[in-house]
Amino acid sequence: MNGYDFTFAGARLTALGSGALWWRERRLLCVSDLHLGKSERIARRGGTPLPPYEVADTLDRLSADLERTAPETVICLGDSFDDAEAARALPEPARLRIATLQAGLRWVWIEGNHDPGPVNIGGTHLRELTLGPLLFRHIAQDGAEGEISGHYHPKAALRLRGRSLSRPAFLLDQDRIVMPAYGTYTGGLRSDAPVLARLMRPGALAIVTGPSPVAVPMPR
Amino acid sequence: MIQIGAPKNVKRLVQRIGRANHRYNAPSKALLVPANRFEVVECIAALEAVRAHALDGDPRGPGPRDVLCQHILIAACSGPFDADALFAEMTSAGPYADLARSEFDACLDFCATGGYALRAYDRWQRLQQRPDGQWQLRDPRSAQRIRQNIGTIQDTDTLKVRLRRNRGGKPLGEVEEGFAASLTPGDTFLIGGQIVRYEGLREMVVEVSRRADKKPKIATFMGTKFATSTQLSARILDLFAQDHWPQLPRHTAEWLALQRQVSRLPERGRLLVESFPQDGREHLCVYGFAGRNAMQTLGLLLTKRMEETGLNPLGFVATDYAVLIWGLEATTDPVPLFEIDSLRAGLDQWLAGNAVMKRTFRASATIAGLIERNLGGQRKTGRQATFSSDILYDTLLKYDPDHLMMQITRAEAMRGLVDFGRIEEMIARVGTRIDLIRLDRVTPLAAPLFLEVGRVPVQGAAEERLLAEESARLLADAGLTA
Repeated sequence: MNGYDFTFAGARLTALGSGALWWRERRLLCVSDLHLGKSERIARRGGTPLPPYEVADTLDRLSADLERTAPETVICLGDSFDDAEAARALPEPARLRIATLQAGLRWVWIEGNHDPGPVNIGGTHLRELTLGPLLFRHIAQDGAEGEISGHYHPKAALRLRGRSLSRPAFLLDQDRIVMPAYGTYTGGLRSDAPVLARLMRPGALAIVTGPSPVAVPMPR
Repeated sequence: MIQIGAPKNVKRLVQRIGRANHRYNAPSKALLVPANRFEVVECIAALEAVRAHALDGDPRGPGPRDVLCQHILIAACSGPFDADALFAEMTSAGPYADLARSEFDACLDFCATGGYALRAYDRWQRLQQRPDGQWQLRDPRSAQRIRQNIGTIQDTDTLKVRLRRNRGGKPLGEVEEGFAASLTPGDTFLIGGQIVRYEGLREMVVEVSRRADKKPKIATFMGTKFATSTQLSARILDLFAQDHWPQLPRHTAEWLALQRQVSRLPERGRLLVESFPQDGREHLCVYGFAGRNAMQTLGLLLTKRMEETGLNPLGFVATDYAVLIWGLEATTDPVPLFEIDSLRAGLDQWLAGNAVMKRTFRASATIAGLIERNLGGQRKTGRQATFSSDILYDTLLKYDPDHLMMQITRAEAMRGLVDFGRIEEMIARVGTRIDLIRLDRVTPLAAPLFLEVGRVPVQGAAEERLLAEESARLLADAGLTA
């Protein structure tokens, strides 16, 4: 499978080119910041009517990842819905699709800052989850170890022989992983932003998503 | 009147010169300032055409529908309107005289609901119909947002340049966003008569300091681009056919003579293609003389073919007379690249996924009101808008390829940026008379292309290969292992 294998807190993990994280030993797939319902939220707040297909597109990609990896557990690491109203307003076909994807799996929704509180969709809703050496939560906290979080939508910007490239990326150091945003209409924050530069240790890596994920020293 | 750069078009030159000394009974004087040697040739050719009263022309197309969409939204801002009355008003204008009612209705539907195959916005639609049949804004507050985004001329984005610790002071000048994005801290450039050092970007202001110790870059300004007309291009080719050039300044005549010596001069009825290495990459220069838009399209089509045949193209840049393509492999047989049937077939498909269509989409989507540039006083930059418009384009292409915005983009692109008619004309002109010349370095005629702005990157296998190489290099440099 196209992915970047690495060891973190003693666990052997794979960063997939799609932006999902795969833990083969536990058959666990983790995705973060789906932001389902973003176009609906923007329209509701008086913005322009964006193409309302981001839910379908995000679920298409998630479905492909589920098929490829065949996990037993799926963790959605927060901000799965653009807000509580977006979760409520999710059209019926999308709800059914999510239910179909969830069938037979342990599905965990980690609470995010956009979607705090219970959401009326099947699965387990938690603030954080510890599994073996790994701790899954939405926003990174100081002093953590073995932590996997999202929230920042990190991107890595690189110069390649005269042309620049900017892609969502996993940020990785000894203490933590910060996941890229998986949702279709999500923007990103470059890794050289002060908040990310402060969060990650010197020597942190950025694993760039795409057809063949590669690692680079995290751009600062 | 000072005309900077080549005039592109004989009628345009006459019109511009005529702006000087704007009286009916006094002559107008102008100074032409060509930016490179090729433009010297173009300016001389244009002046000869003016003296010979050989004016060129441009066929007009139908009124653009993205402008129509903006008009509908603005109309709604001033009060409820009747669709029939608005349609009658639109068709009373020349460019929209042939507008079909169904086309108008599609634009109205787009403004009201977004016009998507998936009806998702009935609750939040921007326009709604009242019981009396008139249309109005669902939320009157959106009038302010719509009015902040009025306009149909796309300006290139500029950023102010300021000294770092001088927040309230006068800016030193402005640079285009694209240039600012190419800078890394430590780079130096010329602005306001001094050399400054780039420190960073803060709140859309370029911050600089006076500690300048390296050779400065020169800020480039891209502005808008028109294509050289067919007639003017033909005149230039005729000029090349001369044995020598007494009407040209000596440096330009020598430049052409040198080109003739090391390679060849392009001629009517044949297509000159040069292949040479430079800066560690292979280059292919195609002298099509089809005008900038058509040459840009040709660049797209050729790089697509090259991608398919494993030549790993990385990017290209086009001018009115040539397209320069760079990549990882050299081209040895150009004839298959120019087969017109292959160029025609799949034009839609080839254009669909690339930068030129996306640029057109971004412009049309902004005019039509799908993308807002100005939001409550905070203007989004072109780069921020480019990111989101690319995602919107990709999403529409996948889920709603016949959406109004995609139709408008296709029509605008075909007419403007694509200009496929001129590629057809070029192929008809040269047939299979294609001359590939292999050289060991850049030629005089190709040299100006290396300084052109507006490079288009090719998303393909080459990028992934470079990314893998760069990743390995960066990790090795940092003492880390993959």
